[in-house]
Amino acid sequence: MALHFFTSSESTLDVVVTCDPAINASDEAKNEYLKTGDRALLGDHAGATIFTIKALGPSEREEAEVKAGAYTRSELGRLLWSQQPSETEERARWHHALEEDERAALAHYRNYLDNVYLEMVNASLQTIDGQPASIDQVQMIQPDDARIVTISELVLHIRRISLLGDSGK
Amino acid sequence: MRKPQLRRLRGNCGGSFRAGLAQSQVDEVGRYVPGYRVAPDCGEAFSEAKIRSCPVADANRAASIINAYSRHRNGLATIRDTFPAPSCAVIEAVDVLHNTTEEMLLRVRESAQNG
Repeated sequence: MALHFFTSSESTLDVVVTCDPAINASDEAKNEYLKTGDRALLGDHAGATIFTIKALGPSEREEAEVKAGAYTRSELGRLLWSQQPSETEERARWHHALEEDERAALAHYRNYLDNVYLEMVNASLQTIDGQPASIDQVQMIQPDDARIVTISELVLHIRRISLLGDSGK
Repeated sequence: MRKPQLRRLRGNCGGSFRAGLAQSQVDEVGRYVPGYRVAPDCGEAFSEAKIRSCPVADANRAASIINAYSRHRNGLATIRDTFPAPSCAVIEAVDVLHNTTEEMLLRVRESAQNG
């Protein structure tokens, strides 16, 4: 186990996203890159867009959660979200059996989580290809699936460098 | 006494455990040694953990955080003296260190009381 997190919230990391057309690595190499953040695993990726992110400190993370609606999120939704089955079909049937208000609470909490991810990216993202950037530039990425993958992978990198991770607990 | 063969089986200080290592087992992820085998007097969480590489090497990687916690605990310096802008990971790591240290002291006290 290597330490993949940063100890300082002022440290920055240059990352790329695996849906970038300039990256021709195998799926295994891409998965390993997402786990470690080691760009050497991707081979030659000249021309890929470089996102510079920083690790989040406790106050920045809390601020992101508050901006996303931490004080108004659905606690019932949070409870249901933590109880949902991991297997796809079982989860679908579990969701189908929920009451109308429970579904609404769950949807509300999922929306809160999406907002947390966006606020995390906004707090962490420093530059794109050396130019100052925010979540607004990321939201303009087209096509839409590339935008979603970009946000997901940025969040994954931010979590990796900002948090201890399961193996450290 | 130096035991280079044992060192290799333990993953050369940080690598995965190798086949042939005493008391090791294998699951779907790979080779591991149960936590209670590595440290028989450890707490519940570590006891149930599956240790897949040398825990001393891991501790060496986290040495800066462990030292900062020890200095803080002994009143020599604050965490912020060592980490002026701590990431969430550092705060979490200090939390884990503090909880495990308190649990260890509790076990020592209970052991002393029980003779």
